[in-house]
Amino acid sequence: MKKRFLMLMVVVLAAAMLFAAGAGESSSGSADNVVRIYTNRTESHVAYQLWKNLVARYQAEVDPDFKAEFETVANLDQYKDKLKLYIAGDDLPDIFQIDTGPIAQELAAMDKLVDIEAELRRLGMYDDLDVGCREYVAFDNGDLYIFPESRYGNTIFYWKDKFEAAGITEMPENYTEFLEACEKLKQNGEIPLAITGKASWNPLHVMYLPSFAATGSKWIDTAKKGETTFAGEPVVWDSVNWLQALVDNDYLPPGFQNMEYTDIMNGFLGGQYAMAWAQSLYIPQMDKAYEEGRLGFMLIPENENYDGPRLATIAIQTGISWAFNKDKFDERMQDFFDFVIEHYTEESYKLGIFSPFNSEIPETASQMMKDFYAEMVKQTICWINWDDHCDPVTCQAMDDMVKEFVSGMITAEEFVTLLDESVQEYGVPYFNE
Amino acid sequence: MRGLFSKKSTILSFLLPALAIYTAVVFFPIIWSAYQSFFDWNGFSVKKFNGFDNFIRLFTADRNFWPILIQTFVYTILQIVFQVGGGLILAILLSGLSFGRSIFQAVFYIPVIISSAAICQIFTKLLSVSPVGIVNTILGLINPEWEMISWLTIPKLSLVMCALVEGYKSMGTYMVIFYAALIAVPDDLIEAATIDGANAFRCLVSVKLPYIRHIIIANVVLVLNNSFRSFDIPYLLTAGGPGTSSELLASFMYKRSFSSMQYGYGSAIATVIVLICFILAIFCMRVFRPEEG
Repeated sequence: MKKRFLMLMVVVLAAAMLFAAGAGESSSGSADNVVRIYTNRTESHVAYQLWKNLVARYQAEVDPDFKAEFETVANLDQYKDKLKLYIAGDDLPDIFQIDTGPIAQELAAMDKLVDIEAELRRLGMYDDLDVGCREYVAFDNGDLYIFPESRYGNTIFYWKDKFEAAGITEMPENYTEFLEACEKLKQNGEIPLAITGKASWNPLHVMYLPSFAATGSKWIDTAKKGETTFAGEPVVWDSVNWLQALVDNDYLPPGFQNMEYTDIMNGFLGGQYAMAWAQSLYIPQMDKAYEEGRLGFMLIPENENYDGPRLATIAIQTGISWAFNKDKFDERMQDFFDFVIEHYTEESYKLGIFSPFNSEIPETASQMMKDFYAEMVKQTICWINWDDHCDPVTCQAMDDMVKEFVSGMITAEEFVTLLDESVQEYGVPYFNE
Repeated sequence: MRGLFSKKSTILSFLLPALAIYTAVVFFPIIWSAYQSFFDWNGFSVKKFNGFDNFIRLFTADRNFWPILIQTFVYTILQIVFQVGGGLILAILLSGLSFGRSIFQAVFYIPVIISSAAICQIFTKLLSVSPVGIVNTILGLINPEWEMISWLTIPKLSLVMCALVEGYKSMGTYMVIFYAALIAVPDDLIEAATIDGANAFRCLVSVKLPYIRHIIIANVVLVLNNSFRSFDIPYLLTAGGPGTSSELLASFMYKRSFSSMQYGYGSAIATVIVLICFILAIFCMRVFRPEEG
């Protein structure tokens, strides 16, 4: 009886384990037929709609059995964390979004990413890719393993009526004038500039403006490796001091440290804030007010502490780029890729965003799009995210420290010193190994 | 059948599967994590054995570790106050009700079954400054300056607010436990106290609370251990911010592991959390051991 009972227990356990193993195989087997697209963009974002439309069109025109599953994590920091988890677990999605930076470069070095340059050359589209967009997504050595999400231009958008009411008749040309304009707006009861502190990239990008427009981004390549220091770059001090001035003088929304970027942009579009640092993808939501003369965009102010010419008036960037998992890039995926590239420009303009490929802007585009595009094509350098070009530990440290900085928990000096210390401890070994 | 269950081998055969699962999902990860803590690994590279370097760096060079450890202790104490204290007060009030008790019981218990994400979203809107949320709107009616209190972004307030929200979410559980204990206090004890001239408050302090002392201690131990592993509410409400002012050990470990990609270092933090929980559990077992006899 005893033996029989124990035997029964063993059989039940073995059956349960076999069932579990079988279930796992079956689920992964069915999942193989579905293309996993991991994105930071939500249903309301045009980049998400663009890919949804491309998938739907591919299904309708080429392969009705093609299935794609979108996994969305809206918060960029959380999105990146989950992607790192996928990487560490060797479970990369078929298509995913990643910034150009050390992690993408590491994946390419491990032969995990499709060579986008080779694919575009095969399709004869490589030379059509805008040079600015290409530079933005290319690695330090010029390799191209990620594909631009779109062609965005970032600058400061503003409500003209709020400026007029505050007595600002001329657009600020430099940061001193910009701060003066903020003061006038504040005195007139306005919240001058919309920034969120919850998504660390936002204050980091705004902070970076005096550096970007003056010197471009080349110095980051040496500073991130510890060959030079952040503290040794005068433009870094211009950057931290500019953000400090915005915080200290209460030119930012109350409680901005815990606001989501969506709330910030909704607030700006609803007329709650006078200015916002925003992407051109919001143009479809702003073009009506633009045509009515109520809203405008200004050029990135000139750094008056820097003697050289202003290198950029709008920050050209491509959003968070797309990467294709090489292990899953079979014939079917390649066919889908070809279709995507072929229709990317057409589908982009349907949604009111600029294509990363050079083409004539459609006649039907709004006046704001045309005016903005005219300024975009004048740019000779592209934007760089200084917050994702360092080693992963320093990037995270920047995220944490900028939140401390805008909350007044650390000073500008501490911010820069801690940044250099992190580079020395983590960046030097990371880039040298 | 009774004979079968009287045999130790039969009982063991029932316990073994549970033990095997528990070992696989609890003990094995703990041991594996402790093993990982002796390596340097960023998710891509080859793992490099670095001995106790991660622990040495954590205790001696990480500027964030000690403040976060202290914050975790403060958070734990606040949790005991909000969850055990709040739950006990609610249970006492409920036990005094003779009408509509079940309605209030259900209302107080609702936050327990709402997801943490939803609770955090609700509180983010309630405590919002821009646009002004309900809490600040009401406060602004009393004093206009209070309308601009940024509850979640003032470094000195953010931790307390996280503890308050977690306390609000969880106190219903302890309320139910305390309520069950309070209604189990024998009537003859209360009657005897009443005959001796004790009023309701005196009955509560001198009869009911001493009678449910072990339940209070058990709940304190539960909250103590749960709070040290708290993650969701502070992470969702403030993401540990502003800066690291509401960061707890668990979210610190998460960020070091998955954001900074220092998996070995994160494992070292996880090992420290496990050790602290073990020490606390042993401490509680010794201090609150029931008196013999």
